[in-house]
Amino acid sequence: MTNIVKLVDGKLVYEGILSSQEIASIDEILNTLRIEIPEVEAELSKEYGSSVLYKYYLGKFLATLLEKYSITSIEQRKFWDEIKDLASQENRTRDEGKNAVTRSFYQQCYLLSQHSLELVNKLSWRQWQSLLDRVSIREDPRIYDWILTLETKIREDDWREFQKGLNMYLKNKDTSVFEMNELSMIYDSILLMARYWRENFSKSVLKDSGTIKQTPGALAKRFYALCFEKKKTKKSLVVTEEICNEAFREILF
Amino acid sequence: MNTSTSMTAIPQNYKKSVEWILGSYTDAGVTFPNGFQKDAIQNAVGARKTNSWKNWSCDISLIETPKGEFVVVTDQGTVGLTGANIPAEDITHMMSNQIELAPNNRLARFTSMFNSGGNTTGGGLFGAGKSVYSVASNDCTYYFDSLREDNLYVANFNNCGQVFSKALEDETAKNYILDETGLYPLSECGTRIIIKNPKPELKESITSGSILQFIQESWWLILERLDESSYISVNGNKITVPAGLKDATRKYELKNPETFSPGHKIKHFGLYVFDHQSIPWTGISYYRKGMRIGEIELNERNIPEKLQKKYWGYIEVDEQWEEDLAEIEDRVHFGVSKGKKNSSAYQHLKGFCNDKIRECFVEWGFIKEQRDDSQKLKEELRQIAEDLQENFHKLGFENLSIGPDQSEFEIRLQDISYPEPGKEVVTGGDEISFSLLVKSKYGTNKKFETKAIVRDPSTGESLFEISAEEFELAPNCFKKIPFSLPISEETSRRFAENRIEIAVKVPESSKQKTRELRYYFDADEPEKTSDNVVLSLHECNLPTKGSRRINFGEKIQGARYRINNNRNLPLSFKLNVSIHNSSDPSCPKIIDVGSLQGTVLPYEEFITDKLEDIVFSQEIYSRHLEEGQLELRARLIATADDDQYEKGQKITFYNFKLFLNCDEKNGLQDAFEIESVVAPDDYRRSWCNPGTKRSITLNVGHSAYKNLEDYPELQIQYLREQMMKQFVLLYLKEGKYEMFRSMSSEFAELDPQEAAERVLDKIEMVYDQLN
Repeated sequence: MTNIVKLVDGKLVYEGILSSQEIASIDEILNTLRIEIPEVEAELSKEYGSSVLYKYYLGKFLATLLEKYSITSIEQRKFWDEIKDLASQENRTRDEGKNAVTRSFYQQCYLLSQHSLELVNKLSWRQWQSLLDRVSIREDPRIYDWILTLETKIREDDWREFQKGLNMYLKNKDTSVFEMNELSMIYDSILLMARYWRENFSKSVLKDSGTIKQTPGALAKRFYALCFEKKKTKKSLVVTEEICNEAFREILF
Repeated sequence: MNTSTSMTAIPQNYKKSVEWILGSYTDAGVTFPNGFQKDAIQNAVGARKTNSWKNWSCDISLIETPKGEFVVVTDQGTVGLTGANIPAEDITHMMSNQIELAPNNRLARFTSMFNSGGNTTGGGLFGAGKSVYSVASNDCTYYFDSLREDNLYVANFNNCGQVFSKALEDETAKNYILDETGLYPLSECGTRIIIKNPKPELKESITSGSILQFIQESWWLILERLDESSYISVNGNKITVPAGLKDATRKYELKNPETFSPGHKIKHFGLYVFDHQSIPWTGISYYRKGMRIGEIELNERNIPEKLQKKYWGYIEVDEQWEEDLAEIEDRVHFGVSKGKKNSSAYQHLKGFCNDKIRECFVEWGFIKEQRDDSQKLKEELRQIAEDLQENFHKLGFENLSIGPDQSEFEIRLQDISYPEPGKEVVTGGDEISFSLLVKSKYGTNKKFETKAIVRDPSTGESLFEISAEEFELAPNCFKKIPFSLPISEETSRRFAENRIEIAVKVPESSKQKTRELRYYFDADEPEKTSDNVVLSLHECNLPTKGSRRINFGEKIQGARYRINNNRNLPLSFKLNVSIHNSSDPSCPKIIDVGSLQGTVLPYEEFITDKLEDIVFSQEIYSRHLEEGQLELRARLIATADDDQYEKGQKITFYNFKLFLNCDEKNGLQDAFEIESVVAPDDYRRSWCNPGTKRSITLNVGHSAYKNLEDYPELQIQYLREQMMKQFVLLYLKEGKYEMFRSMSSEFAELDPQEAAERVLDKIEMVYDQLN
């Protein structure tokens, strides 16, 4: 039996036809959520502000709810929607899509809580959110091992560009064929490519602003695509600085 | 150098050649005495004069004479070792020349090995029945004599594989047996096997009587059928069915034969539950030709702890099914051969027993029916929903389905002809021709529009209209339309790539399908980049033949893939295989089920090794779905750089649909979901939501529903009517006006009053026709 309800046009809608006893038990769960969720969210907010730790500990609490109410994987999205729409007092306006669980805020908190604190602290919440949004990037879980090796925090703009580049690289790839050291080299090289772009593009813009007709985003994409094409032609495992130089010259000059 | 041209049999160690039987008994988990009694009695059963049991008997005794200790198996009321007394050398010659011994050549067959005499499904199929006598002796030695129905007396001696060339006959035979064993000749028609120096465990089993229980369990069905003139005995003591075998606290016996599925008929089934533990055996066994073969694996969820070892049962099936079971039987008739339990013969047997036991145990209150009242109600509603959708289809309404296989029409290009085969380059004066096949899968007649144009892909500009046509197709009918395009500057763009774009549209809906053909008019054809590595599923054994249904606990065996490398380069690959939940829109992975690596040489086909069994355990899968569609997904990935692929690149994939705990749907059963709402303040009794997640919502807080609380049957009828009404309205909301159309006018053109009347009329018509 599913323990989930949803709100449609201000009415509680149950899946299928339920007995009054079943309805009562679902309503009881909902009432509990309506009390507990705002309390937990308020406490965490007081303790951790809106930091990544707020989401981490909220995820820990959500994990206990999944177990307590026997929510299966397939029911998770509905359960998170129930919490968001019927229990939480927070105004969560981010577009979470219609059906998939991937972009749900509570799902992402739950997934975050399944990692170690050491790993969680390596990225900001925004960075985590963008990582959790993209299933293809975390399909190979060894990306978490690589993140753990990062010695310093990655700048937000570098992370954004890194994800763009990685997304492009993974479009037709399955990384399971790589050893961990090869995979780390690939991630490192894509980060290098992202940083290269940020550093060199801003300088070029200052010098040659009149010659640039495309948007920076579109140019960055062309740059990454060209780097990968050159990498393939050269049969190189990774994008090197030399490849970045060549591609950059071809794109901007 | 001279070489001999005469041939002889490969020398072999006789003792070792028969000892496989011992291993087979061990594999089947049975003791030697148990295996021995089964084969020995089975031989006697098979030697009966007719199918009748009259005057038939079989005795197993331990006899001590001045000549020694012997285990003696005697059958009477049988035909004896009939047939010509053929010299052993001649039998060998016949066997080496593939000449089969006729079934009535019992003497010759008994004197040789591996001669089952046309017996395809009974015992003796594998020749174990005779070798068992050798194995029963420490010296691999036994005598046998027989008084035949033609009154000839024959005897022979098998001394570790050595026999007299011809069986001794009449007085010589009688005297020989008396001299060697101290046993007097048989006085009635039958056969006697006298095992010299028998194995201690066999002697002990006969002396202690422990062999009795094995015989009772294997042969109780036959024992029940024997009349006063016939018997099975040990040391001369007749064996009977254990007392109180069926005096159970609870029992169920199938009254009439029952067909479980097409081609699978159950003749007898019995289930007996006792409130004490002293029952002779437990579990549910299947019997073939009256002989117990093996125990059926039952679903543990159906057997409560308190009933463990307190029940037994049996099942007998019809002859055809028995033959199918014989094919998968192990060599000593104690169960199913390894790896053959997924055959439909066994799976159906298991399925019937599990269903029946659950049904009985629920009725007797040993286990609770999983479904409570509300669950029953849900199932009733689901059934109503399915009936409604099925009936709507019968009434000619088109399919609203969101299930699989929902493509409502198919198009295909055929007979494609370019001026030069294999090339897409053309010049002025050439012609390209092709045919378009349109097949309708709609439930009603449908209008289609086709249009073929030439487009310049670089600008998107439409250059020339080849043809446009409108036609109507009846359900499941097709139309083939020929096209041809003369190449000139009037029809195409010269020195450029052109595309023929063929579109097929259903005017009353937004459905459209397109196909394209490329050609290069006085322009070079670019290098082909299309995939030339092909992956496909080569072999895969599903639990049920001819069905992609998988239930919890079942498995797929022997899945292997074929890779065609149609390139002039070797392909180093990795194949990753996983199961995905395709009932979820994002199709998430549930589990990885295999990974293989290898290399395929240029222009070669490669068949992978078999994957490990893919088990659909409830523990893993129920976390994702209880029932629905799964996909077995295979991805081929390059593991080394070459001129086409780089390491890590996905080359191609192959997806195979499966159905977990449900049958493959034809798309009719899942057009909408049912939801309920307690909204006493809402005046509406029900409503519907169109779109990809169609639903019908029933207001169970409405007074109209509440008023029927004391009349559950009327409540069901009420819900059925509400669902019918909303189902009709779903068609309206989705713009499928076909069902509201009349002979004289299109629904969309009606004035509001007439349109409302037409809808109400349709609802009334549906009530009338489906009630």
